Amino acid sequence: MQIDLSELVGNDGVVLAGMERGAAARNLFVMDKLDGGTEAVVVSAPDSLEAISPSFVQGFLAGSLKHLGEDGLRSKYRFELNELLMEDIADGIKRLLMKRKIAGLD
Amino acid sequence: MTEEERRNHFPGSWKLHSEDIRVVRKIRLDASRLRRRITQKPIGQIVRPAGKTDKGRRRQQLNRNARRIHAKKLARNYIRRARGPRQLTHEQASVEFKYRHSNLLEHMVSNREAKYSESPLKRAQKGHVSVELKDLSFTHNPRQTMNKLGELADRECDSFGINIDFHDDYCLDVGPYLLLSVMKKQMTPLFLGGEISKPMSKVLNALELDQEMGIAVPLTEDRHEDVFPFPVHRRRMSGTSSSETRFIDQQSHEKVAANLNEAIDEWLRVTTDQRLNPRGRRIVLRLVTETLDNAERHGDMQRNENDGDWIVAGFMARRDNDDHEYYRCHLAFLSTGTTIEETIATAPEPIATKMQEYAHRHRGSVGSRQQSPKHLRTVFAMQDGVTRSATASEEKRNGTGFQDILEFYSDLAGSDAAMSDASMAIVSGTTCVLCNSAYMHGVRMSGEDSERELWFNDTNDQSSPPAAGNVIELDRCLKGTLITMTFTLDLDYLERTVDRAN
Repeated sequence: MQIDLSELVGNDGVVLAGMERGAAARNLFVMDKLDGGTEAVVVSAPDSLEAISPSFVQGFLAGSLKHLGEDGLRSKYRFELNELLMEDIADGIKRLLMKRKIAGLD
Repeated sequence: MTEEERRNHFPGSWKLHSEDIRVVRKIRLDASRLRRRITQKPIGQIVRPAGKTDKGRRRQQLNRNARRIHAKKLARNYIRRARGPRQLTHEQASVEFKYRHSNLLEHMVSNREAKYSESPLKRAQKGHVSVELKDLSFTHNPRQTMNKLGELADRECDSFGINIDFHDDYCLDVGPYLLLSVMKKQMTPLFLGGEISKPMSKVLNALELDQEMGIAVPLTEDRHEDVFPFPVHRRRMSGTSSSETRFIDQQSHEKVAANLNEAIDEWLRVTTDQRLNPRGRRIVLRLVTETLDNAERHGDMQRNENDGDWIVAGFMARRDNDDHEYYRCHLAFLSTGTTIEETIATAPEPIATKMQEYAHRHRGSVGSRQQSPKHLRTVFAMQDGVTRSATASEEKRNGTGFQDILEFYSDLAGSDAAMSDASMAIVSGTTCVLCNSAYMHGVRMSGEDSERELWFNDTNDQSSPPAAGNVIELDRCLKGTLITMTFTLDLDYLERTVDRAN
């Protein structure tokens, strides 16, 4: 299975941003269904993409993380992205895994 | 300042823009052509039948008259539509003084409507007044800056005409001018003109803020020399999104971020023959998109949730100081509609209780006793994990926007914030939070998987109150949020983080 982010950014978009946009992308690629399947999913992006904001990653992956857990997410989704975009994905996941004591949620 | 020096420093006065007058003339011409086309062309084609009765001729005359009236009406509507909102001249406005509701100004001036309704005679007695705008900077002088803008809003209610004198030698902060441009659009056009310094003329013109304000500034031969602009970009009006694929389509804040990257590359190419490297570009993209995405989601929460509007502008200026050349950068984002404190007041449990505890513990520590809880709630809203969304809270996601903005800003401002005189002001409601020197960004206090915290005190601890110098009460309310930042570009840092153009 393949998720091609160029469906969102086009061939010349440079950034993906926004929690709502991440959640909309999740619906577009029917990721809730993909999470339930057994096949691995490859996520790719066009060469023009330079950054993915943490809010987008959170909207995009929160559901999968909840469903699969951190290890499950990392084994299910293979991100074929450049070094900086991989850092962006890692930053977003880090924020999802963050303890939330100030907010009283942990 | 001698008279000669003064003449040199203030080369002329700004005036009302003549563009409007030209537009109206063109529309009138178009309308008269339209009127001719409707009334004359069809009539010219009519051949009167031979031997027509008087009754028939009368009917034809009546038809012709009706057609003329209809054409006149159409033309009038055409003019009205093309003109858009009516532009009054100073004299017309002075006579009419019709009250204009503005959510922004209503919160800035108490009892605005009542003050407005006072007798026009009182206005006439007051005559023309001058408002001097000096030391306008939210990043270094927030209280006085807001008071100055508030004074301008006051004068709109009780004067016959207003001169605005822009007396700053340099533009110290672009934020106040962004706010002024939005305010001015919502005010009665009572502005007459005023003095403006050369550097201020250059900046307002380069950023196209003069057009936003509807004023014409005097320009000297060097025009925009030493000013590298990122002109005004704005999102369409809040609540006008109708596309079903709204979040699938490319977002306007993504385009703005890309444009700013291009602008910075151009600034660096001209000044130092450098350009941002991929990591630098990524910081700019993430800073702009996070800020504007926040503005869209929370900007106009009461009327158009997730569809707020924003306006953004910035510039870099080359300056000299004792043979030392340096580059001062300014960037500001403004969204009007809802304050941070109003947004976070709708937070779900247990966030609401935690916030209440914090506000109660430190009540009276910053600002007045009445306003203090609002300031404290704003500080609390800036911490990681604090979100107003019940879904996000339930799924333990988001609520990291502010700390992300601060982190990206710190990265952009360079390694030593004090050296670069970096300062970011977050102005919302009657609260101004200054993020500078020791309190530039949040810190993870309990390991890598903990939240970033920024409590504006020495120990960075929520059990202590924030520093009064960093959380400031304003006398006027900004119904919205302005994030404005300024820093000096660290050339050593730039050397380390950018690629040579060649």
